[in-house]
Amino acid sequence: MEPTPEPVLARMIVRMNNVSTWFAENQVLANDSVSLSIRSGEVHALVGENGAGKSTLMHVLSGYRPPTSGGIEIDGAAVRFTAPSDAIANGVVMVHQHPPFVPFFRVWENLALGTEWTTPIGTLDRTAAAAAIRRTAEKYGIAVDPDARMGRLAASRLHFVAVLGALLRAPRLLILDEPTAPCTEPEVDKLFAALRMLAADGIAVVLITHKLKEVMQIADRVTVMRAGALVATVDRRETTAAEIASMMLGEDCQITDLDRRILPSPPAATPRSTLELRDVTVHAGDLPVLDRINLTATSGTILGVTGIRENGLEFLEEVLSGTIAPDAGTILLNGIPVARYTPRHFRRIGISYIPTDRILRGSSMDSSVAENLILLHRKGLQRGGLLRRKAVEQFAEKLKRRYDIAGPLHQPMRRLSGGNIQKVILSRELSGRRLVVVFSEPSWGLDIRSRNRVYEEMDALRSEGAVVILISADIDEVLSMSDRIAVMFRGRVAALLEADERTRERIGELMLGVEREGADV
Amino acid sequence: MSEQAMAAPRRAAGTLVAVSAAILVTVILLAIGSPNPARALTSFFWGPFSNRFFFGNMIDTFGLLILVGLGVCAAFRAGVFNLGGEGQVYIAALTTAVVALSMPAAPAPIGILAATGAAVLVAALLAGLSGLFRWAWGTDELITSFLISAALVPTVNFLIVGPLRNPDSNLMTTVRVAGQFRFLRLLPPSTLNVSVGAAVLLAVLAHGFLFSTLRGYELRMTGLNREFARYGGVAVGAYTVLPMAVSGGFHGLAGAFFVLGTHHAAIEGFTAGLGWNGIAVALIGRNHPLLIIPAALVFAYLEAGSRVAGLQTEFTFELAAIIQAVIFFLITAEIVLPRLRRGRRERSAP
Repeated sequence: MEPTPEPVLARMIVRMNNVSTWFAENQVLANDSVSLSIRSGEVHALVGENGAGKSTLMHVLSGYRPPTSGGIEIDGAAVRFTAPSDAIANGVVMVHQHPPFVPFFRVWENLALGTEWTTPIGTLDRTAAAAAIRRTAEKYGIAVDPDARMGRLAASRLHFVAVLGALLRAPRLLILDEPTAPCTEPEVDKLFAALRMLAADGIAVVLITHKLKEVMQIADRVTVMRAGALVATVDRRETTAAEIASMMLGEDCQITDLDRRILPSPPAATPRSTLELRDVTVHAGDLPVLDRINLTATSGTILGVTGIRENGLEFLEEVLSGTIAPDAGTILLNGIPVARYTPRHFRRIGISYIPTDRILRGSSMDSSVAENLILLHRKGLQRGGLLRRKAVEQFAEKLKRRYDIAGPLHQPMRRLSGGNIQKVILSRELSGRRLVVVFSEPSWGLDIRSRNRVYEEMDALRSEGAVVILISADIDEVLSMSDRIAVMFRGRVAALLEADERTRERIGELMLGVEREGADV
Repeated sequence: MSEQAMAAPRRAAGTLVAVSAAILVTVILLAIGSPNPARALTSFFWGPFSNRFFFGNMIDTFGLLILVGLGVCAAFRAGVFNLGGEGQVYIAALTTAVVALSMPAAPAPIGILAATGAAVLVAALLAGLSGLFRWAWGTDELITSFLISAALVPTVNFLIVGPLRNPDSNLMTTVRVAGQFRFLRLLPPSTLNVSVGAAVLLAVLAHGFLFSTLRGYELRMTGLNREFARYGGVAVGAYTVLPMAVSGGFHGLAGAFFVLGTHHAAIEGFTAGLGWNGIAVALIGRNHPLLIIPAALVFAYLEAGSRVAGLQTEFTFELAAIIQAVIFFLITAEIVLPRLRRGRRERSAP
């Protein structure tokens, strides 16, 4: 915990002194006397596992939550934020992991909230708003259409809009919480270019992230947190990814290096089950968003499906989970067409599903962890219509132990960190026997340990002979986990790649729809 | 199972503050609005306990409020809203009277069952219709239940003052039901009758259903997050239609008890906002069946207080209505505002 020497020239803007945050409800010390300084013009990465206290610390800094003790100084003067608006008035703006928005409003309408784009008679001034948005968007190279409806945008775009909204408030310190989680690689590059420009303009940027690759790519300084405490703040040029990882995880943790992972050999095939999509087509309006998809996934293998968002991955998730019915075509399980396209029926025939949206679809945030855990198993825990209290507790306790879910079972789901929420969902979905498991973006926003846990589960399912489908926009994840990879482009399967013919570059080209001469796909 | 238990003390404190504030405002209003404030205050606060008649009537109202509160709660817990309680209570009361009058010589158990059953069925069908519309076409059940109810009230008025009116009475009322159908009175001359026991029992049963049964679990999950329930294979369509019907059923029961227990006839306008008060009671009771019992008691007491004050003093009925509105406003504000604030914080800081 040695303090790093501060260069004389960089004008420091924000200092957090001995900040502690105690959550009385679940008896957790989320921040343990953390002291941190952030300088103008730097990109400061804040890393740590889920639940390490990164987000809480930044919520304190941006006025969303008062610290239990400790204080904040800006340019040497002590400040006290009682609301986000106080922080904004002091130039501190935070973009949250799941930025809130009004889905049926247009981009500019969402961003107009709290700004002064009004005409003399007090109505919102669309022209001024759109112009301001375009100006900022162009300056930082973030393409956003001010007139697009928020609800129609992909998750990564929503984040861009939120970043743009933050920039319109002229921040001196911009805090981004996992901004790259829903982004594809080109989008990450774009975002990082914008962050570099901001830093060059003298703005301080704090980037909360799990991804060490990104840290090494963009950060000037790195602060590592573990279990609520600050481990160290280091200069990026004087450290390595391995060093940061060991600081994050403590001494005794092995990390899986995705690049060097070797897929375990496929299991001896005894019960062959297959899930086949035959000419599956889905229309949104007149446009086909899934266009005659033909894919077959077999037991004991992992079929990876990747692509840039808005090229059909989202709709594939909906069709494979029974959430929407295809407009044409069929899904066949072991050669038999599924009878009904409802999640209820899909579950009944043995298709399990880990959704992208863990908050709105994957959990009931106002219910207890136990109530979330028993959702799929509820019928086994009743007798004569009565839920057997003891059986419910034992079942939930078993899952909690197996997946190291933190905290008491009776606390509401909303108290859990993102990683623990995903653990609840995984443990629920993977308890019991499943023929097919559809994973959609299973590692978004997860730390290394939780991520490894997901991958271990996928491998285990694969060797048990389950059909595993991995829908993910993360090329590295798909490359290292899948036996075969389908690349989606504009609602179609651009290519289905076997183990020997895939490279990052090839997949990248296919995702972007680059035609390669002489390439037979 | 747990979410209530955890935050209960804090919430209870909040409700206490709101109820106290409401009582304070009542005192102020009485002091300003009544020519004889001391007498009005005494009547208001002490009146309901001053004799058997007032006390019994208050407890009778209490039982009916539990039923309508449970009705609102049944729908709300499943994430749907029955805004048609008023009309459902009213038409159920008329149905009870009509069925009972059509079989004046029937033995008590048969007549009571037939009349009550018909009332519950009619109200359940009407509310269930709104649920069905919501399920089939996505029509907002809040609007349709309100509109259906709004159309029912004048229709029932017409039937009572027109074809079904008792020509021998000066009141706008039907003929009184046969003696054997009337519930046993517990504190004559008040209207308190055995149905209050049924109401309390139903609240306890509803609690057991919600928190200890599989269907109760599915219903609550549907109410808390419909998408989550659907994703988990819960038949959310059924949990849209059925809770609405059950909600109507509770209102129907209140209507039946109102006739068989309280008034022995259907009188024009006699439900007087009972259906609306159910919403207030459910809100004060936080849609929790057991909390609805004390909530109904508080509401019945305040209503009885204003009724007694109105009878004994120059205190006008309008003032009583204003006081009820203030209480409703303060209590809903106390319940709804923190929820909104919390929701906002959580959406922005997950």
